[in-house]
Amino acid sequence: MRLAFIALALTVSAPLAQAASQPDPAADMKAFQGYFLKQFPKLPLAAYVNGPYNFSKSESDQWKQIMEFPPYQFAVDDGKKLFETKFPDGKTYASCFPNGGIGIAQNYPMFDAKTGKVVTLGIAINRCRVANGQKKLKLTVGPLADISAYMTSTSDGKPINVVIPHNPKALAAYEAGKEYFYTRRGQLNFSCASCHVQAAGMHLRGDVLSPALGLTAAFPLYRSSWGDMGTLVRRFIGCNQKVKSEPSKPDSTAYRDLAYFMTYMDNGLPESGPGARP
Amino acid sequence: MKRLGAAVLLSVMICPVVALAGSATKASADHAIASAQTKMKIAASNQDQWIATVDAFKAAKAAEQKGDFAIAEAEAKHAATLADLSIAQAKAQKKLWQNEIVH
Repeated sequence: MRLAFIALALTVSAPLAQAASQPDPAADMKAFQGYFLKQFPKLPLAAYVNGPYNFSKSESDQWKQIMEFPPYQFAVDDGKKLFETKFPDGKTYASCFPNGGIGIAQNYPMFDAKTGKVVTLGIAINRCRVANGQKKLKLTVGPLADISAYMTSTSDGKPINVVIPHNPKALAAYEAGKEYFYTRRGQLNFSCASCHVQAAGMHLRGDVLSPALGLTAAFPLYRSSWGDMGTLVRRFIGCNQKVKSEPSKPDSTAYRDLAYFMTYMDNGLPESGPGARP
Repeated sequence: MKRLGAAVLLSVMICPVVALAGSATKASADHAIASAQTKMKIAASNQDQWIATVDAFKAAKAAEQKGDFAIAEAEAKHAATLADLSIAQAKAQKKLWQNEIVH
């Protein structure tokens, strides 16, 4: 009798336990956005794309003045020229992207079923170059950041729409990104969440820590502390270094997956890149 | 009395360094470097290599090339200790990261 009861309990509980451990990106996103909306009830969802400016009037005022002559505009202009420049084979970047690369940045990163890997916009730009006989560009700064800035500018205001297909590898990539985001690392023992969830909106010395929600929406961006444009991967590298952890390679699976998770959490928010930050 | 105390303290601080300098050889330095390297590979595979570990390891290699085997050995052991700590951190985080998830 007792054995029968145990067998019954196991039969019922096993599928429940399995269901609980299955990745559920949509539920995660709802909880993630809900957490911030509860934390900062006066802040509407769309405002999160403005990052630290929601939490500091003086920085917000400065930003509004800066935006009269956006510091990323040169990058957008240069990026447009590069985007339209023909490769030696006569094709352009437009040939590699749906809709000629216009108004599609909000769909990145995306999962590539062929390679089983996440592809960020920067990696897609480099793939396009390689397909047309060109060398890859740096994923962090320079011409690739400029091309990304131009492409992202054509998606301004469109809702971020990262898709996680029901594919075991895509779900695994999402889960890996989630784990990376919440895992403490480096000599300072910080996770991404330590600053951008638990301490979101607080000050770290003179800087306001942006909430993780909306963080990816303004990339690539011009940071005054950089003095030029940088991609999301550049920011990942900087954050790793700040917590005294050796950064991964810019095209590493770790950063691809992290970008996948973080951008998926921003789904529905308006694309607002390129942006400007202190 | 204070001077005597200071002298004793100084000698206690210096002794290990002198002893280390006296005992270090190229072989012991190379062994320490190899040991650190093995641990650093594990740390890197955990995506949790500390910058200080790499710095100490570089210092060990540089000292070894200069023939400063005592410094090389000490720096390599320092790198190995840091690598051990990061491995322990990564191991603990394999479970602990889930505590940080927002629900």
